[in-house]
Amino acid sequence: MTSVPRHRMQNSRGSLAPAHSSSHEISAQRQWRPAALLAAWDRFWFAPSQPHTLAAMRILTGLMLFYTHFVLTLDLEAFLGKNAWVNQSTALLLNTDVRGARWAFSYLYYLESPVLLWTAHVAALLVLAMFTAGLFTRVTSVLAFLITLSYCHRLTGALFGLDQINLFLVMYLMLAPSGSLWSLDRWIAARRGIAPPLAPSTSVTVATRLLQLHVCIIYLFGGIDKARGELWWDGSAVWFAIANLEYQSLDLTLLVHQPWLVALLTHVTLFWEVFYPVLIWPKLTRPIFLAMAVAVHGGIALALGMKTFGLAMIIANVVFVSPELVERLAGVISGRSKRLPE
Amino acid sequence: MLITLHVAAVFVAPFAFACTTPSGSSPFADGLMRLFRPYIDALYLNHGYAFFAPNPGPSHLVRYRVEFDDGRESVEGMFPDLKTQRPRLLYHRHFMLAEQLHNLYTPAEPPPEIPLDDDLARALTDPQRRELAENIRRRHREILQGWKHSRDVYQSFRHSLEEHLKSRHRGDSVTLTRVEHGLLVPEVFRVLRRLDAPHTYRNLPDGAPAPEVLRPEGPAQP
Repeated sequence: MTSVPRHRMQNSRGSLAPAHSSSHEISAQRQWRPAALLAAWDRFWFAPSQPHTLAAMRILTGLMLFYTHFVLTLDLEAFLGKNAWVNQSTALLLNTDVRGARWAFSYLYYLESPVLLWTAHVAALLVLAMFTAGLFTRVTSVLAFLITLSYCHRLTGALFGLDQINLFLVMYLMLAPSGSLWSLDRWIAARRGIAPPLAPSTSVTVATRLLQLHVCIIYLFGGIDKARGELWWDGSAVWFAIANLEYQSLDLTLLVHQPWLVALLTHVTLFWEVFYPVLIWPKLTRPIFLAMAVAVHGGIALALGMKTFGLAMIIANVVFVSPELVERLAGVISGRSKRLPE
Repeated sequence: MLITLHVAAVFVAPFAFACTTPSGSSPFADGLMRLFRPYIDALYLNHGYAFFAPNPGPSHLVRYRVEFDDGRESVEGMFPDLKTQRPRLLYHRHFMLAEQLHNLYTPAEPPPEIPLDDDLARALTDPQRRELAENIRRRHREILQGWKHSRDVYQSFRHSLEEHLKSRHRGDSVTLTRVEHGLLVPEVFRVLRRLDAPHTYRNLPDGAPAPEVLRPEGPAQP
């Protein structure tokens, strides 16, 4: 056991703590040493981990990306064509700041011909389908990111939360070998007898941590911004959400007769969102916060007409499910159970 | 290092958004935003994540009328329209277009110069008064620059919607009206029992006040 300097064992009142009763204290003090902090930082970001969670997220995100872009096919030229709702010059202006600087890029800015536009759109759908199926995933994940980014920068004015979530999901999935499992890449490699054994990877951890922190930042500011509104404190915010006809997809206005329930839902939503960035990390509270995420976003999907946004947020929360649990769930779904290799 | 910078950029966008209030914005947050703006904009990270915040508000729609020079009867409609725009995601795209028109709205009249309070003016010496007047003029020039940019963006967006409707209906002129659909408080709903009562729809004249205070940096997208 490393010796602890005397002055470090002094408690806040300056008295010496008995050595035999302070093993936790000593260990806690060690955690704050620079070397220990650095090691913790390294472990947090770079300890290799298995790809099961990100592989599952690739499939779910891919399906969402494909659907999001496929829906545009139904009225493609109205959104991306020469006479679109938001034409190209306006899209460029929307992405330009007051000093005239523009950092947004989209290859769609340069496609006015219907033939070119349709060709590019079908190609984009093909790439998104390949990404979902995990075919040439290392390439198609980068292309899926560039496609999604380009559509976001071109569709400015018609975007909402779904697009923000879609983009950050694919941005981080691109960084990890999300196609190393449950993919056509693996199936083809297995048939050729060259599939490498599944191994924990550092890039999986980096992508996972970035995704987790991004989700926490979303909830942190979502909660802070809500906390500035008086309706989230007087308990009526949920009523005004369900009383919005343009959002409504399930009529919950019967709740008008249960003001206490509406208020409870309002307060629970606010506190869940504000505390999510902290209480999603401990093992004890994580399942509770994930269950609430499913309830809140499932409610938004069903009642507020945003199935896609609600599902996208639930997909984002999957990043907090451990690879071991995802592997077990996949085993249950496919009817077999197998433990991850250490 | 790259990871830290990226996480900082992800944080800065909603932080700057949260630090912008009707009375002004945090110089610290603005400075960070200026620093990270190229990266934030390039990666489409410029969001406040203020979903249904600070309060769930009324919806905004757009009523339009397309007219024809050859005497055909004019076409009237409104978007978003759940009856014609399906699936729901397509409807929601149209809904966001209407909301965006409202969010971008900037009055045609430039904001007036900030007046100097009489009591304050009397309390100052001549050099102090001149210096303060110059500071106010400088601030006003920045506000005017922001107003002009916002107005240009609004007009371009509105014109684009009009041109699209003209092209879609092969019409000759289009009139757009911004409409606000107000929300009913529980006490009124219990009596009316409907959310689409005619009085809840209100046309917004172009002279209505801007929805947000003008900011030289421009708002992040909620």
